Amino acid sequence: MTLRRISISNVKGMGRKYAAFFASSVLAVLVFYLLASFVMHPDVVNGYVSQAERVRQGLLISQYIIVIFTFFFVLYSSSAFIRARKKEFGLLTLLGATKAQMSRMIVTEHILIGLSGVAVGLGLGVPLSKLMLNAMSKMLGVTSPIRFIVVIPAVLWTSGLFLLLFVFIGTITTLQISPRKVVRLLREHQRPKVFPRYSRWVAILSLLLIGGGCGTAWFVDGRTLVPAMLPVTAVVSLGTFLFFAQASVGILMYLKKKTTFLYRNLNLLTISDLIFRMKENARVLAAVAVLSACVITATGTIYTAEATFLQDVARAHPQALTFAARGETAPETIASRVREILREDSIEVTEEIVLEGLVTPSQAENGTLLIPETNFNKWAESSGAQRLSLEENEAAYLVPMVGEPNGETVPMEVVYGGETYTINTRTWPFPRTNYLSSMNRLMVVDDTLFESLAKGAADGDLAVFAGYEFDNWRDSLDAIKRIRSLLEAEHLLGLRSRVESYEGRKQMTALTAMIGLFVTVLFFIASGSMLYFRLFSEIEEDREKYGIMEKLGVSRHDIGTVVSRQLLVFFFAPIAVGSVHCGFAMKSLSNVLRMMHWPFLGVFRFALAAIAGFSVIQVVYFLAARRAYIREVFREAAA
Amino acid sequence: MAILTANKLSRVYGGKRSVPTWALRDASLTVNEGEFIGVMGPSGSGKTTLLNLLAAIDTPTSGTVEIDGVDISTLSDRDLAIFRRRKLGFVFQDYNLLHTLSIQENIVLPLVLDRVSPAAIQSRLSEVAHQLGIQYILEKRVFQVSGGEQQRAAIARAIIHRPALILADEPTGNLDSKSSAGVMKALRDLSDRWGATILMVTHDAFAASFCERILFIRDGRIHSQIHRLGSRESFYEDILSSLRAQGGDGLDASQDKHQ
Ligand SMILES: Nc1ncnc2c1ncn2[C@@H]1O[C@H](COP(=O)(O)OP(=O)(O)OP(=O)(O)O)[C@@H](O)[C@H]1O
Ligand SMILES: [Mg+2]
Repeated sequence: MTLRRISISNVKGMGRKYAAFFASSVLAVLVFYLLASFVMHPDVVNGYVSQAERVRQGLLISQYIIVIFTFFFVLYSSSAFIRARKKEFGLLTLLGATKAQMSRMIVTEHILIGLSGVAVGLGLGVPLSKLMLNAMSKMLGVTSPIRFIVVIPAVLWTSGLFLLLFVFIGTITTLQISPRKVVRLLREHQRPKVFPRYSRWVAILSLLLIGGGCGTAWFVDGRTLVPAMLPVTAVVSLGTFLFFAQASVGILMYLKKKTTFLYRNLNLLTISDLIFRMKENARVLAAVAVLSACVITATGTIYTAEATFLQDVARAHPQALTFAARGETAPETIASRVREILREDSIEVTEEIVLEGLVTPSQAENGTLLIPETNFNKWAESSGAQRLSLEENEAAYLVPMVGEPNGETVPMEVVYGGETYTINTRTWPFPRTNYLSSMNRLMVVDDTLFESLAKGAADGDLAVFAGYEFDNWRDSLDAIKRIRSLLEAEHLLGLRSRVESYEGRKQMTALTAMIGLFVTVLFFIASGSMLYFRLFSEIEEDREKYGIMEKLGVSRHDIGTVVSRQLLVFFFAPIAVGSVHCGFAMKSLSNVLRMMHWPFLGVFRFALAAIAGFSVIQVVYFLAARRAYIREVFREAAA
Repeated sequence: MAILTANKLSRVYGGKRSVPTWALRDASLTVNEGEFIGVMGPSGSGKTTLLNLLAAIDTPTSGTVEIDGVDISTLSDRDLAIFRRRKLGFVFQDYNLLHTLSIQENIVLPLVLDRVSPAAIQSRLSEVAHQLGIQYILEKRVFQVSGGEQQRAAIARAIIHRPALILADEPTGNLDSKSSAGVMKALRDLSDRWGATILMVTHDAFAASFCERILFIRDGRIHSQIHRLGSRESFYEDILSSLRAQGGDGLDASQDKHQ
């Protein structure tokens, strides 16, 4: 028998305690490998997959997050284990184990867990990466799916990194044991519990802090959001900690005083225990509450962003296709060719405007487009906008804005064909020109002036300017590409389509949403596990306590009820508090988005979905923890 | 020759916020090599406290403990570990077995920590297991065996490495007279054959009669002692009469069962 054998026995003997820790480590390894298998995939690295680069960046960032996350998670879990095992280390010290031996033992245990976690994580990760690569191929719209292979660098990185992590944390953990304090180590588990001290003022302060923070969040707007965010988060976090440490105790003490409540059912047993449990775990509970509020809020924000994205695209592109070109071909011919291409792809055009114009060299890069008044009014009519009526020698600049035109005119000079015309110009709000105005200034001139200008115009200066709207614009990507190549021969001034900008952003949002989901799920599972460990790190005392209760005649069923109630509070109080926080954060978000017509509920429903998801995970944990815990508590009592 | 010397040991619990408890007051004693000493006294008189201080499990409020002439508070971590591993065997009143390990693994722990060869460990294990009559529970887990069996496993762990100094806190507290005799014979054997020095706390006059000297402790002070002069049986009578003289404190209810 060797020390290593003893370590192995130890891990085996603590199977149940290690189960959640192990499962979460496996999950972290799994997710990390999935992402790495894409990031380090030879096809992606060598650039065979177009557009993969941006995705890679995003995934790399989420990998960093996962590693940092796992680091703290493993660190926390290990120190929880060591705390639960102080007695064991005290005893080993007394039996003459040197600090080095115990350190080696702890590190061996961590290596064991790390090795098996990596093995199982990779065992699951490799087959699952096939699904992941398929999904990625689909999302990126690559024609041939990314090959499924075992990505060796990803395997090496994953196993290397996680093993290193476990060894490192094992080493840090060993600092917690000191060979000089044997008595303290031995008595750790039976240290008398001091009744929690409780101050009404601190409890009130905690509510004030939370209330103040949330109140600020409620009234914050687009201008104040950024400066308010950090202070509000800090104040609310502090308040939440004090809430769990003090106010929760206060509430329970209040309940304890009400004998009618206390002596009913099993409340006495439940409450008196819960006071200790809440106080001792205040830090963990508060951390879970605050973090889950952050994660739920982030998830809600990501999905809100995704939902507003369609609106954004529609707003940026009032028409599905707009372009301007100049050349020898007559506008009607161009228009009919464009229509033909659209028809080939069975795209139904619901609105078509083709305008002739004249390009004059001017301050604007591509020159100013002059449009005759009649042409413009045709367009305005068909799109239900206000008609323009110009006096002689008057012109209107079209500006892409909503609003009422004002009557003021300014004299402006237009130079064409060697002559300078001074025209009284006013601005004319016209949102439908939205995009083209950024490259061409659009100016409507009265018909007579246009005529006289056009007469002497060179063919190349005549331009066609067109806008189309169609319902099934999402299918128009191919047609748009062909139209673009057609127009390129005609000296294209500019072309913008709704579908191209939609496709470009669709990938990014889908990706953000997916990464968000990964990280969120990982977080929820980690936080569930943390609560699970906390529970199991106190099981020795609890076992004794419940053993005594049983001897006093409390039935197992009743003990089960007491345990369930306590665990219910333990597992769900943080989400409840976190959800409230998140509600206020979402209110801030909806304040900011109000100009975009997102009411509070519209924004909050995404957060609600995240809360629901979190609750489901938490219910699973609650049930699993309760089962394992009750079994463990009664295991020895039965022997 | 003195192997263990305690000079004016005191241990005060509590203080500051609560009323201080003097668990031990100026206790001095000298233990010679190979001696087998019993410590008796009423519950709460400071016996466990004394043992903890002697084993350097706890640190005294004042006073010193010297082992082989060296003040243990001056030992380095490493020397302290080596002392505990090679020279000390400690039996806890509440056994302190590790629940994650089997009985056998618990017992061999001191040898494993000292990197003894597996073959030697095995032979030592079967020897002590036989002596204490626990061969049949070696593979079991801690929670699968009775309190008395746990106690014997804890004793086996304390003697398997044949320590020079054994400190035992009520090693027979949970045992019937037959098992108790087995334990006492094992300790006696260690003392006779290997020259081990033993300090044992007990409430049981029968167990105490295996000792050569009994220290009586009360209210944290060592107030008297008696030596064994003749046979074990006559010493047993001496112990009972001393206890009676002290007003029956520390007398075990089971004292008469051995007569
Ligand atoms: N950790 C502690 N904190 C405070 N007081 C303590 C502590 N441990 C022991 N005491 C007190 O010190 C005194 C001596 O305790 P000790 O455990 O040494 O008694 P003992 O002689 O071993 O008793 P028993 O025969 O019941 O085991 C007792 O009054 C006890 O209440
Ligand atoms: Mg005692």
